[in-house]
Amino acid sequence: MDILINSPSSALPHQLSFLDLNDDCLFEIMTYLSLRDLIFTSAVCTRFGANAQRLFPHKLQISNNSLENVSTTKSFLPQIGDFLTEVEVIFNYWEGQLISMNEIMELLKTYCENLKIIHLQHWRCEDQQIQLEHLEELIHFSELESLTITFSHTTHIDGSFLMKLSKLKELRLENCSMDLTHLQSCLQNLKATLKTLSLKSCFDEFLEVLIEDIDQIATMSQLELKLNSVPTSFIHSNLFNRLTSLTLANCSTSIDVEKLFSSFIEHNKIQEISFSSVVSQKPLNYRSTVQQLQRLTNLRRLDFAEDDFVTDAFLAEISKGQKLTHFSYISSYRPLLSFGAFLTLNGPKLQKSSYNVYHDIIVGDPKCESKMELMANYRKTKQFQRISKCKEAINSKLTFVEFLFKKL
Amino acid sequence: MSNMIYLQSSDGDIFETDAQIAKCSGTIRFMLEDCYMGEYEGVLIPLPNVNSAILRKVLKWADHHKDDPVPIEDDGHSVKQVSVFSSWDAEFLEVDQGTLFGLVQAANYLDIQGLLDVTCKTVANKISGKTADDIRNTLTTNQNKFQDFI
Repeated sequence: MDILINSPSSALPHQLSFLDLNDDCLFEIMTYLSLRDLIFTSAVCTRFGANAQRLFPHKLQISNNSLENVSTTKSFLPQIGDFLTEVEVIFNYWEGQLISMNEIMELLKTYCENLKIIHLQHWRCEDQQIQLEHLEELIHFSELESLTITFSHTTHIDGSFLMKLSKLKELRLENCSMDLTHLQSCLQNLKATLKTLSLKSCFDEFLEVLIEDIDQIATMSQLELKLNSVPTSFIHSNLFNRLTSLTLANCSTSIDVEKLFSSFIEHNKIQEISFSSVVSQKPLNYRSTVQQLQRLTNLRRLDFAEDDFVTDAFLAEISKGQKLTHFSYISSYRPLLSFGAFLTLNGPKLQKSSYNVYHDIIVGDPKCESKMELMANYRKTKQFQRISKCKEAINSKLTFVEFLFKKL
Repeated sequence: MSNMIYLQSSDGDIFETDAQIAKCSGTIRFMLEDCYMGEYEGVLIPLPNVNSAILRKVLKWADHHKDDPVPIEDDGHSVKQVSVFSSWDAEFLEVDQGTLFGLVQAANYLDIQGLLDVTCKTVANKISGKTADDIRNTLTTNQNKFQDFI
């Protein structure tokens, strides 16, 4: 039992005060306080400060279009900045500017020296010119390990600052086009540290030289690519002997999926596969590839969306891994074909599975009553009845079925 | 079947209470089940950290909440129950600050999670919206005490 600062009996002659409570009680009380109240409470005395600081957030979201958020940020950062390790900035360039990106960066630079994770989201109109000097400031965060920069539309940035970030373990870029040499030297500098790389819609074509640089990174385990085409050198690179997670999206030019999966099978390192709109050059060979999928024993998570090579047999084999816990499958072209396969999924440890049926109905406002009406009509269709029947049959495995109405 | 036990406050007063009610306190439950091995009919438990006034309130609270559902333990670590702040509790806690802090302390010492939740929430409500100076002035009786801490 904790030693009490003052026992009630000894404090009895005069009234018991807030200060007589032990740290356990103080902390318990503080868990009910808002951040604003915590900051004021922390200023009462050092003992209160120490207890309040245990509850200070490590993560902060800053958004420039909410007055409340901007004023809170300005007034709280001096107190909580030291404790923050992660910050997410959501910046809308078309909104009235309550604070500029440079000001935000200045605040972060002044008060948040310990930031390890920074996310910067830039939202702009398509033809809007925006100032990007704030990116240069990122080099001042000496502890930075994870950086995410996204733009709503393709934006050219001066990537030279990336070369000065020497501790990065994670780098995610979306819609940032830049001088390829900058990214290349950045990757070369991070050869021994980078674990996660995500490049979404950054380059029109994924250049073979970049694949070589990625292949040089010994620590690389998670790779996410959204691009128009994958060079053949990617499929043949040595990456698969260490990649544990691969996300591919929008590879409209077809890739050699067969070779990809045989690389996965050969090294058996892969834990997470997420493919969306991946087009295969040819149907997978049943005997040499599909039947071998069960050898992927480390698979934990699978996400397939609109991939043309996923068949019933494919699903049945790939879900045999003992560690598979998460599975999602989306297809708008032939949802029912694979639904049967989905219901007989073999993953014994499956914790979460989702199966989205896109129904081709145009909907306006998703909240309007017409959606309810559409849903009601959809419930009467044979397709829905079939799904419900299947669901009843094997209720134990399927945790939920979600119906999404896709806007065409 | 009633199973009466006796609790002795720091002032020496002895309270007779049903063991089932007293067992809402983790501290007392531990003593009864582990120290007395379940053979606790008529035992006397001294509570040197709780005075009579506070113990009387605690027992009143425990008696009112004796039929509350037991907090569910999930995988070893207990889930913080969202205790409903009933009007009875609100009225029960309309006390002077000294008593309120006494109840917080007693709930902590006796390990009564439900009482700790409602009392701490009540104190937090008193702090909420106040500046550091306000907190110093309103929630403490002796300003001088802070000189040691600041």
